[in-house]
Amino acid sequence: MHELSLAVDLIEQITKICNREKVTRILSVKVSIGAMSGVEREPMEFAFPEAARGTLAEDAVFEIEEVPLRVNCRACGADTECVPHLLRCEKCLDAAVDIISGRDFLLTGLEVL
Amino acid sequence: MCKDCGCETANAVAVHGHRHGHDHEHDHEHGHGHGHPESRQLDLETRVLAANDEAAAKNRAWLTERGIKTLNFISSPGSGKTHLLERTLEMLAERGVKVAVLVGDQQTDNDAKRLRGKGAPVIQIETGASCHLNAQQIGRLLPEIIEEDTQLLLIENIGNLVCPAAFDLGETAKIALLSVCEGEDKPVKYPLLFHDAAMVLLTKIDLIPHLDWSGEACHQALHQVAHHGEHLSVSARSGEGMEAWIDWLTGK
Repeated sequence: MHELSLAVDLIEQITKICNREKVTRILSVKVSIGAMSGVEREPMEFAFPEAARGTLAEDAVFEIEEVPLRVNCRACGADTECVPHLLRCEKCLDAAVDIISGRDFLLTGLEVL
Repeated sequence: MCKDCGCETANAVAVHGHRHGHDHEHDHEHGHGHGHPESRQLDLETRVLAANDEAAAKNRAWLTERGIKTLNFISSPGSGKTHLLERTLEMLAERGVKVAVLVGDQQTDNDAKRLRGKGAPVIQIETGASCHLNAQQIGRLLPEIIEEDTQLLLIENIGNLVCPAAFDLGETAKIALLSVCEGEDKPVKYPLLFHDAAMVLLTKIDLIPHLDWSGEACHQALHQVAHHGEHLSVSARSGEGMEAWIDWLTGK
């Protein structure tokens, strides 16, 4: 499970931002997890409070947005949604596709005081 | 340039329609706060792996500058990474290619011991509880492992199909191994690695007569997650396919 080391990285980033912004309290932390980011919701939900303990983010609400995998088809040009274990254009079913979203694990927002 | 604050950027990420290099943010009113009237919202779009990505980019630049090709070998435990590298090092030495090796495991330097004495410097990285190598670990060792005439750096990652795939080390390419005893559908079960690998090596093919292995089913599974990928079948034990693998390795 690499989510714990990702949660530690996440807290480090949050701490940097909060120091710069002179934040006194973090009410919520928002992240987005791409379907093909290599990050899973459940272990992340487990890891976040562990990494946040003793930091400004300790009592923050942790919100995860899941971002589906989207691909662009080289054959027909369509942008469609698919699943990581079957990378193909859902319009023409061609396998020659490029991933356009769903690869990233991002910190997308903080609600702070 | 950012239209809100005018900052110039490097290493940019897109934030509400324009590019940002550092993760500065702008306050926004919003209507679904968590119970405090004075709270403010910082809108961000920062990669959580930014620290690793930065270290990986540094490694890549450092290695590219020296003309060194770097391969990151990822597979399940027991798929034959170390045996493949043993044979690979012997064959590269015969061809006069100068190689360096970094090998990761949670515990022990057993793999480094196996890989030493074949003409290449080898350093073992013991990661303890961690299930993957990261770019900082590699970066720290580069000045020590890379010699003036090194042409190729081989990194044997921790045996794990999941976590190592998420961490860029600064490699030129990822190499995935899939041993024929693991089952043909591994690529669709672990699509991230098999999608990203520039080369998939089907290993231990000398065992095929003892198994119900279907090459066709495996190729279909590979095609499902990586239409662009290359694959080769090898046996480090019998030597079958190894010449083609070394040709690929030295040809690109």
